[in-house]
Amino acid sequence: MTATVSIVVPCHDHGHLLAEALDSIAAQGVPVEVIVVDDRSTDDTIAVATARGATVVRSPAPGAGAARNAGVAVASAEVIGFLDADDLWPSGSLALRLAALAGHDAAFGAVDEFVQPGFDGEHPEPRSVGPTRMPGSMLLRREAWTAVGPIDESLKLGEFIDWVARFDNAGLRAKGIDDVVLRRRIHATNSTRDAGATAAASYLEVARMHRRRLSE
Amino acid sequence: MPRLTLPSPKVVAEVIDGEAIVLDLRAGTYFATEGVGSVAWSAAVDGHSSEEIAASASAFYGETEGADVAALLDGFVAAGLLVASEADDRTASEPITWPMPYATPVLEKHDDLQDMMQLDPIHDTDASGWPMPAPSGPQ
Repeated sequence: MTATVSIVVPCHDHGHLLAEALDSIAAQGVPVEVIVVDDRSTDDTIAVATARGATVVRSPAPGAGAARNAGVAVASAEVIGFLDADDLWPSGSLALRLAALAGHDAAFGAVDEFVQPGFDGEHPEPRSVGPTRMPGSMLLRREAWTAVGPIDESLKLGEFIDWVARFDNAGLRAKGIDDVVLRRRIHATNSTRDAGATAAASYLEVARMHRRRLSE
Repeated sequence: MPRLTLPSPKVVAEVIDGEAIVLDLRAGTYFATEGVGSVAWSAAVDGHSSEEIAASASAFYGETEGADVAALLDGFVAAGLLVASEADDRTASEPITWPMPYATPVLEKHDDLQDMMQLDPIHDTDASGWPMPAPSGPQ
């Protein structure tokens, strides 16, 4: 059966969560090609991916942006989706977005967050938000990816925000639906001391580039 | 005289080449102002009071222009990008250098990236709500 959608799953040492993510893809009931992009994992990521029949690609550079780019580079279907190894798609996520994709360049839906069962570290309150454009909630046509170009791997954070901003700036159109299409897992905190400043700098750069494209 | 301070970490800002970009991380919106506006922004963040900044603009350009600058500073406060404080007794470190020619300063608001800016970093957020970067690849 020809795959309708190529799904790129970046994974860095999330082998223990990957099986659940891949099972949530399989449960969609849509013929798909699954590409797990391994980003220097030292755990059982490759074994888990292989056991579930996924194509495994090694990311040429660290970071989510590079991993997504590497996955799309080998994707064969005309529609592309992303699911991070620690997140899940609820039942119907793919079918609902495929239906919404008709006449649009991309489709996305609402997002629910959940706390990893058993995780008792400090964490933000899980949120439920309406249609939101993020990798795991968005399906896009290959032509849209080609028109916009790959994710900017130089950005440390906000690289997908930048990609979507470029999608908008290119005049492409995305359809949002109210159904929950992504369940994001909250499972870790990280308190690197200077991370706040790094994040702020990345976001400011994304905003600056967005504004520059608007004025071009 | 009240001085204006950045309500960090909710708001972050950067001025490069006469363009100030101000990001409200909680709302997911960003603001931009250029030229006279970015000089007024930098002066406020540096510790000049709003009255000093407006008076300086009036003296340099004229009264109408000074009123524009005062209105812009009010706009920063109204948008929640700066907070006025009577208790703030900072001394500004730099004199204000206004650009020529004058162009009426505008505070642009951009909310097109709002949904993503609000949600993006949730996997790595500490107690104060700061977004944290992925230290080693996708999370």
